[in-house]
Amino acid sequence: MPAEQGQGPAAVVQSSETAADGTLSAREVVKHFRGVHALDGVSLTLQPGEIVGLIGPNGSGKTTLLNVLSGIYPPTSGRVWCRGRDVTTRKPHVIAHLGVGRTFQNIRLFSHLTVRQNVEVGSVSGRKVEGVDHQADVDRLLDRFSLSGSAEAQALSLPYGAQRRVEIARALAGRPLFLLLDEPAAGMNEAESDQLLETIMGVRKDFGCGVLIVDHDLRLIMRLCERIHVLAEGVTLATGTPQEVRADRQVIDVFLGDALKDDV
Amino acid sequence: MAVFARLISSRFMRSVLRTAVPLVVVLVAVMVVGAVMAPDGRGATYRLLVNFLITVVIVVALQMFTGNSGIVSWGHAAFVGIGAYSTAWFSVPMVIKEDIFPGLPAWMMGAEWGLVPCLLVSTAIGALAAAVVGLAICRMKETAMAMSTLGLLVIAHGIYSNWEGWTRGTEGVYALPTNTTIYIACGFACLAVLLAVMFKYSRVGLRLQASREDPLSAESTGVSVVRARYFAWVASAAMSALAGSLWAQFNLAFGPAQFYYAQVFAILSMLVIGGLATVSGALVGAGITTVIFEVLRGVENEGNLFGIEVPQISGLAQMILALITLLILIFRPNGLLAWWELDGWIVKARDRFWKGGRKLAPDAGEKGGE
Amino acid sequence: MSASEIGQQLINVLSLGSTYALLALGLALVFGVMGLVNFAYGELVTITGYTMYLMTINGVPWGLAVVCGITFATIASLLMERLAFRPLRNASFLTLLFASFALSVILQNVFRATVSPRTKGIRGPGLLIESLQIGPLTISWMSIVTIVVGAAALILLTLFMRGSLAGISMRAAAENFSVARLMGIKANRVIALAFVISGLLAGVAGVLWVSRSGSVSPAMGFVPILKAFIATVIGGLGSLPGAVLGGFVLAAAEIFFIVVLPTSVQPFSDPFALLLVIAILYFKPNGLLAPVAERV
Repeated sequence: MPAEQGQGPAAVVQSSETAADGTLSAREVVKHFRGVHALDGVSLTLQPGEIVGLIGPNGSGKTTLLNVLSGIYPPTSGRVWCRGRDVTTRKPHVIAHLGVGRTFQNIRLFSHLTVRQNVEVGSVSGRKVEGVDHQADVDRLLDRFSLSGSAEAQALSLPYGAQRRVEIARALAGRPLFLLLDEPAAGMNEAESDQLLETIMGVRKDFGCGVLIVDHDLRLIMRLCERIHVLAEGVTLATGTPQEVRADRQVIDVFLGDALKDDV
Repeated sequence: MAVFARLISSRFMRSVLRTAVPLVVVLVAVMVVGAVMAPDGRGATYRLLVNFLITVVIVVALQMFTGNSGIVSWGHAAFVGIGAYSTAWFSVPMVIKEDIFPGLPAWMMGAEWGLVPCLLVSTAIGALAAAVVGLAICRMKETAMAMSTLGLLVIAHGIYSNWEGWTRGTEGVYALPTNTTIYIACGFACLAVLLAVMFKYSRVGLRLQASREDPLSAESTGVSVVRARYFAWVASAAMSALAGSLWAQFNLAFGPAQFYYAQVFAILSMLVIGGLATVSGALVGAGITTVIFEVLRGVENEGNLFGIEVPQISGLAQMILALITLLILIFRPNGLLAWWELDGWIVKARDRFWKGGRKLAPDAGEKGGE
Repeated sequence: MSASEIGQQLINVLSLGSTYALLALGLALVFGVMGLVNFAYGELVTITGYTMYLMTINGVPWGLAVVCGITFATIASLLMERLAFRPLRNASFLTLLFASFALSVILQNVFRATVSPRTKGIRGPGLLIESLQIGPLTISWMSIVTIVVGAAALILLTLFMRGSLAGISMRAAAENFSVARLMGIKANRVIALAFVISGLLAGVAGVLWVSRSGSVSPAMGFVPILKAFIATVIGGLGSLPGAVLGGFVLAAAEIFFIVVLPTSVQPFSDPFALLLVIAILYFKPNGLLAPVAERV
């Protein structure tokens, strides 16, 4: 792999302003599993620095879209672009090198490695940037996610909430420009999900990356995201600001239902 | 000098030294015992200890690949064989070579090299073979890789047994010069341990271990799993070939049967018994297995157990070793040392001693003493 | 090459391939239900062989020896599951593989210690070494029996897997074990059944194997497990039709190299076939009929 020319955080902010080239986008993506249309022509663009929510009922294709964006599944048709490059058929690690980090719905840590090593793998394998001090970066991230105390523990020995934090820290250690979070609030109570909201806001502020977040916790999504993308049965049902989506008749009918009316 | 000082004080070097030093101490102790007991370099004990030290190189080499990647390789015995045969090509005296290796080209026929050139050329040939084969093997799925390494073993065995002009087929090779002494074997065992520990704590090693834990999530974190595997594959095959060369220059005569099923099983057992994940485990496993084998071989061949007469049983040593391996897998699936290197266990034991048996946190591992 | 020669070789491929297919199916079935590549599977073939050997030298008629051979392999398969693999349920692929490898070595040495470390000859019915002339083709009865038995076993197994509740639940389990468990299929029963069928297949294949080779030895199980392993992997580990296909592809590759290689390199025909297989895997890393990709 050619060593990619590094871009500092300053360049990141710049590229977010110069539109198309600096984004991660799915264009008319179709994904079939044995004839099941998991995705049926979905387009979505993520800019650095913005937080986008991806919601929809179970089986609407949210996780599949994340997997296509991060290179785990090649789409049946359609393209995926990352920072001006067509990465449709590229392997996940190539896409990770271009600055896409992610977490998984059912936490996938390197169980028998230490917490520090988990984050370190992210740091030494992620987007290449000149003059990074990996050790210092890892220490900072461990500190930021209150993991310093358990840095030398095996990842699987941590409680659930801490494992979630390790996963986010590992993804961030790779200096992503785009962070894909798959149900980070799953299994969290209200207080924890509030804390998660703070964390993600902080991440955007300090790291400047765009965040695409899939979650069922609509309270979290509505408060966190500038833009929401609604999927149903593999197609885009609606997209817009939380207010727009909330007002969308179709969205309410199909899936938001009572859950939101209370909130409004 | 400043660079050197910084390197030594880095987290990487600290971890490497902490893990490698106790292991090197053990190896040197083995060497001292051998040198004291058999100053003339003869006798059964001397042979046993030298062969143990060479075995350590073989097991540690396999640990580099299988331990870190979590992918079984049956094929490493083939690389040990490559090392042994290529050593024979370059070291057997010319008069005998014309008889046993009629197929060799003229320039190789005349070669009667010493220890170091033989080691170098064997390692290079082993690395080259692995580099070619690895191109295909390393991009397969884990299960297909396991099968292909088994295929590799069978292919290599077929070649060693049938390539008359270069290997003398099943009749085997003889008349290699004795170049490996206990000092040399110990030196290379220490080097192997040091390299394997450095690899484990290096970036590639870390990436490979990540892929062992979860290949898909490693890929998504930016790890090129194929590349990490390829690197370890070639490095560990090269080290296996080096061990094969050392072995050949000590045992002097061998045939294709020396690099097949039984050897693969013995090496894998050592790894499983000690624990795949650690270099210390490879060493501990090699030690335990060597002792068991030595005791049981007495029973098997002479009907003699610590001087007591017992009935001779064919295949007993291998059977017991297999049974122990199976029991370890059932009751201690990660091996005796599990996830912690010897230094981690030393720290644990020390803490337990000082704190009067107070229960330790489960994570008191490698750096638990800090 | 003349048409009749090609016909002759096709029959060889069919005969060898159906033996491999039976072996591969037994291996794939167990892999499907518990993620284990059972290395000790080859020893089931050995058990069949030794049962037949010990019975025929003691004057038991061939037919009865065959039945007992298959029965013992089936019982041994079930015992393996109970004693060695049940304590390892849910262990990793690597642990299971090592455990079965160790079990295989234990059994080999049991044969070595109890029967004999040496190869022993075993004589089948005289008919099997005779041949039949059909037009230009000379077909040995061994090949005919092998093909017929192989085809019958495949058909019966297919009917069982598609037609019976037990078979359907086993296929469901093989496709996705955790889902099958949620649907209420009893894990122990399905796994035990898979081992029973696996043992049966090994037994049948073992009879064919021993009849063809005419000898038994402690380490004879290595070649059958190797062939079965290769066949399942080329076919796509976890796919039952793949295992059958893999068996025939492997047989075709072996026969092909035996036919085309000149006599001087004939000993290398097996290594060449293996290289071809590795080449297939280079282009199709998941095998020819790969099961659906893992959901993340």
